Amino acid sequence: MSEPSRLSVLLTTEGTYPHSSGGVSTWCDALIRNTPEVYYTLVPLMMNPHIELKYDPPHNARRVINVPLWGIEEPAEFLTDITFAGLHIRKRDTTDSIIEREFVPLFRDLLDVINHAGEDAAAFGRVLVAMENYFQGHDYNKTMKSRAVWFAFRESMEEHSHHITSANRFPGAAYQLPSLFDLTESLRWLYRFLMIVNVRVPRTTLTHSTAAAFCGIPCITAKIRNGTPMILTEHGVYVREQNLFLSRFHRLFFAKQFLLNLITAITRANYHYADIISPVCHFNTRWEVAQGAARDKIRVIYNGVDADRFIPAPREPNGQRVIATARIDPLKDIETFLRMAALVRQTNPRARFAIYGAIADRKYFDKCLSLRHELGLDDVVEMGVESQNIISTYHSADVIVLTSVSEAFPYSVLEAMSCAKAIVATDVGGVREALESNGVLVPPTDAEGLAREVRRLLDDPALRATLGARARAAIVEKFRVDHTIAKYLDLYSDLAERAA
Amino acid sequence: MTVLPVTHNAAIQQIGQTVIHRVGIPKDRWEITAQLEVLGYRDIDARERLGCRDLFEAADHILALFHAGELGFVPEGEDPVRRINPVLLFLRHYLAGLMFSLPMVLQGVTMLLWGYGLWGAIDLDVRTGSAIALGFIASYIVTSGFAWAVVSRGLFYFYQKEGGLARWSALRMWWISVRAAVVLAGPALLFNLIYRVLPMDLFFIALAYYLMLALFWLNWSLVYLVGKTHWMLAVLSVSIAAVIAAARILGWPVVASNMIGLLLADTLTFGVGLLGLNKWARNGSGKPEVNPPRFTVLVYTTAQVFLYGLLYSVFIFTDRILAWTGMRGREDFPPYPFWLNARYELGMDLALIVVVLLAGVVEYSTHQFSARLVPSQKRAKSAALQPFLDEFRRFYRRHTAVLCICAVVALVSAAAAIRALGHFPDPRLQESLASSTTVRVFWVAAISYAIFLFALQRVLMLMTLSRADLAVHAIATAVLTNIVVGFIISRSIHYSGSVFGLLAGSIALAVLAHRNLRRVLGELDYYYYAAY
Repeated sequence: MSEPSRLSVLLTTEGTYPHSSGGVSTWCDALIRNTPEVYYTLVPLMMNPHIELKYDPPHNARRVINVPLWGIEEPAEFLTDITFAGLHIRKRDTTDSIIEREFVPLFRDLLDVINHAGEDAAAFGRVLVAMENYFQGHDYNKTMKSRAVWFAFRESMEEHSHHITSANRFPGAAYQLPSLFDLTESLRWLYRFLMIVNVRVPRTTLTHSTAAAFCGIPCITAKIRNGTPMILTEHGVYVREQNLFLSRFHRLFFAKQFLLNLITAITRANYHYADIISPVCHFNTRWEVAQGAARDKIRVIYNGVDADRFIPAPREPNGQRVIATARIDPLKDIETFLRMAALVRQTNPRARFAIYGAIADRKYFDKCLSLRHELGLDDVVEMGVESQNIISTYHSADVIVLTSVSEAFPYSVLEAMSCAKAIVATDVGGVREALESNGVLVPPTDAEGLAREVRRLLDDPALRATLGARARAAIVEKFRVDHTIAKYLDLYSDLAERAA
Repeated sequence: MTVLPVTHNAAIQQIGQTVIHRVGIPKDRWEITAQLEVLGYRDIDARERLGCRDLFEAADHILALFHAGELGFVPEGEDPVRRINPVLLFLRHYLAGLMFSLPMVLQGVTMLLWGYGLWGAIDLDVRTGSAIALGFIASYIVTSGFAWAVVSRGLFYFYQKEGGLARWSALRMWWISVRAAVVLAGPALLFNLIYRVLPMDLFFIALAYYLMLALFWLNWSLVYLVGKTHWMLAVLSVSIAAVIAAARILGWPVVASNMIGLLLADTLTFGVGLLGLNKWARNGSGKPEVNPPRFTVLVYTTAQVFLYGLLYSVFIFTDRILAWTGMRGREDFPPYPFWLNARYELGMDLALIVVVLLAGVVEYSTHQFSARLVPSQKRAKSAALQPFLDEFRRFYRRHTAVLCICAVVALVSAAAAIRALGHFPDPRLQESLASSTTVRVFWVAAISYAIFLFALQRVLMLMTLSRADLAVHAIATAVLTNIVVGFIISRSIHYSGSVFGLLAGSIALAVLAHRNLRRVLGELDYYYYAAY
C-alpha cells in the first residue's frame, strides 16, 4: 500500500537549530516533533561544519543539508551531490571568459541591488536564481576569486561611494571612500554569505525560513522557480540584530555600510517573497513594516510552552531567592541585574541571586565579574553557570527577573509564567504582550525600579502567589505549545491548498 | 519629520551624542533606532521624552543632526603597533630561517668535530654511505609534499581559531603520510629485487634510514606548524649526543648508533608537535570529531601545496640522483646503479653554507612582505591604488638588492670556509678538497643555491598570497630543466655535470618566479583579496 502524500517542508535556519540552543531552536524542535505528519528537509546555515548537534532531529526530519559558512575553504567541501571528478570538470570549465561573459553581468546586478539596500526586492530574487543557475555548472571558488569579479567589485564600490560623497558632504564623508582593506574584507564576506547559492534543495510542498536572513535564500529561489509557498517566521528581527552587531565596526565604516546594505537587501527580499510573515510577537511587526513588509502578509503566532512540563511546584522555604535565566550577553543587561541585586540587598540582606545561562560574551562576563566584586556581591550573586534542570531552577526561585534591553518573545518569561512564578521584567520587545498585567514591567536599564518591584514581591508572598497564578492561567489559555503548533499546521495546510 | 520644541531638541541632541559615541559614523536611521532601543528607549519614550512619533522618527532627527555637523564623532584610529627594533626583528627572523637548515648544519659540525651525525658518520664506508644517502633522499622526497600539506591545512584551521580541527587535520594527515611512506617501501623492495639498485643488505639499511627519517621530517612539520622550531636545536643536540654516546661509549656500530639517535629524535619531535597541537585544541572552539572533513576534501584542498612540496624536494635532489647513478668519468667505479660519490657530496655539502647563510634573509623578506600587507591595505584608498602598488614594488626591489648583496657575502664566506677547511687535520678531507670535481661541484652548486634562494624568496611571497598554482608551475618547469640539463651533461661529459642541471633549474625557477611575482605585484590588490 502506498503511503498517502504528506506535506513536505523545507525548513531553513541560521546559526540555530539543530546546532545551538536558544529560543529559535526550542521553537524548531517543538515544531518538528509535534508535527510528525509533516516531512522536513532541514537546511541549517552554520558557523563551521564541526559544531556538535544540540538537538537530534526526529525521524520526520528526513534530510539535513548543512551549509557551513566558515571553517571551509570553498563550498566544494560540503557539497555531497557532486563527485570529485565532477568538481574538477566544473573547475576546468569555469574559464575567465565564461566568468567575464556570464557571471560578471549578474554580479554587477547583485552589487547594484546591494548598494541600494534591496529597494528592488524582486530584482534581488531574480539575481539569486540566476546565480544558482550559474553555479550549477560552474565553480564557485574559481568564479568568486577571479580577477574579473574583483575588478567589477572594486569599480562598482568606488563608483557608488563617489556618488554618495559627491551628493552629501556630511561629517565623516571621507570614510565613505573604501580602503583596499574595506573592499577586501567586504568581498570576502560576500563570498561567505553567498555560499548558500551552491546548495541544491529538493522540491517541497512549501518552505519555511526561520529568519529574514541568508537562510531565506533557498526559500526565495524555490518560490521564484516553482511557486513554492514561503513562510517566514521571525523570532528576533534579523536586520535590527545585525545593525546592533555591526555598529561595533567603528573603524570599518565602509565595510559596515556594505554589510548592512547586503543584510537589509536580503531581509527585504525575504519579506517580499514570503507569502506569510509570522513574527512571534506584535512588537516585531514595527520593524518589519518599516522595512517594507506588507501588513496583510503578517500573522503573529506567539511562541508557546509545554504547560504540562513547566508546572507549578511549591517552593522550599530557604531564604529569598531571585533568579534570571539569561545568557551572559550585553543585550541581557546583566549589569542592571547586579545593580538591582545590590539595591535589594540593602533592605533584604537574606536575599540571594543567580543568573543561569551560557557565557556568550567572555569580555562582557569579565566586566560583570568586576562589577559584582565592586558591588560586594561575590557571595550573593551566582553567575556564569548553566542550569542542568531549568524547571527545578524556576521552582527554586521566589521571583524571576528579566533585565534585557532587547527581546522578542522570550521563552524564559513564558516558562516562568507556566511555573506560576512572579516575574519582574523590563518592558522591551514582546515581553509586555506575554506578561500583560500578570507580572511587573519596568523600563529597561532602570535598576532602581527593578529593585523596588523585586523587593515588593519578596516581601509579599500573597502578591507573588496571585501574580503567579494569573501568569499560569494566561499560559494555559493563550501560550500553549499545542496552540502554537496548530496555528502553524493551519498555515501549512492553507498554503499547500492554495499552491495546489 | 516633526518639528521639535527646544526642550526636546536638547534631549535629542543628548541621546544623539550617546548614539554617535557608540556607533561612530551612523549608517542610517535603522542603525540609530536599534541603538536607541538597546539604550532602553521605547516608542512611548520617543513620544514623551523626545517629542517624536516613534523611535524611527527620533532616529531621523539624530541622523539630521549628525549630517548637520551638530554631533561630534571621533574617528577611532588603529591600535598602536608595538615598535620592534629593526635589528632585533631581522635577527629574530634570520634565526627562524636558520632553523630550517639546522639539521644540516649540526650534522656537518658534529661530523667534523666528533665524527658522527644524526645520520651517517665521517668514517663510514662508501657502501653504507650509499645506502644511507638513498634512504635520506627517498625519505625527503616522499615526505615533503605531505609535510607541506600538514602545515598548510593545519594553519588554515589555526588562523580560523579552530585549534581542535587543526590538531585533528594535522594528525590525520600525519598518519596518512606515515602509512603512505611505509606502503611505498613495498614497491621499492620489489623494484630493488628486480633491478638490484643496491644489494639486499644495503637495501634494508636504506630502508631503515628511510623510515626513521621520513618520520623525522613529518614530525618536524608538526613542530613547524605549532611554531616550536626553536625546540629543534635541543632535540637535535640531545639526539646527536645519543648517537655519539652509543658509538663512542657503548661501541655500537654506526648504523645502530644512528638508529638510536633517530629514534630519540622521532620521539622528541613528535612529543613537541603533539604538545603544541594539544594546546591548540584546548584553546579551539570546534569539535573535529563532529563531521570532520572527508578524505577527498583533505586531498582536494591540499593537492597543490602537496605537489609543490614534492617538486621542491625532487628539484633539490635531482642532481645527486643523476650524479650517483651516472658512470661517465667516475673515478670510484661504482659496483651498483646507485653509488655515493664522496667528492660530489662534499662539494654539495660545502655549497650548503650559502643556503644556511641566506635562508634567514629569505625568511625575513617573506615575513616583512606578509606583515606589511594589511597595514598598507588599510592606509590605501581603493581609488588611489598606485601608491599601494608602488610601495610593494619598492619593497621588492629593496629586498632583492639586499639578498643579492647577501648572496655575494655568502659566496665569499663559503669560499673562505673551504680555505679554512683545507687546514683541517683530516687527510681524506684535504684530498677531496684538492679534487677538481669537488671544487667544480662546490662553485656551481654554491652559485646555483644563491640563485635558488633568490627564486625561493619570490616563491615564498607567492605562497604567502596562496598562489601555490604559480609556484607549482614555476618549480615544475625548473625540475624538468634540472633533469634534462643534468641528465644530458652527466651522461655525455662527466657525471658531476649534473650540478649544471641544478644551475639551469635554479635559473629557470628564478626567472619564472620573478616573472610571476612581478605580475602579482602589479595587481596586488586583487591577489591579496583572492589569497584566502
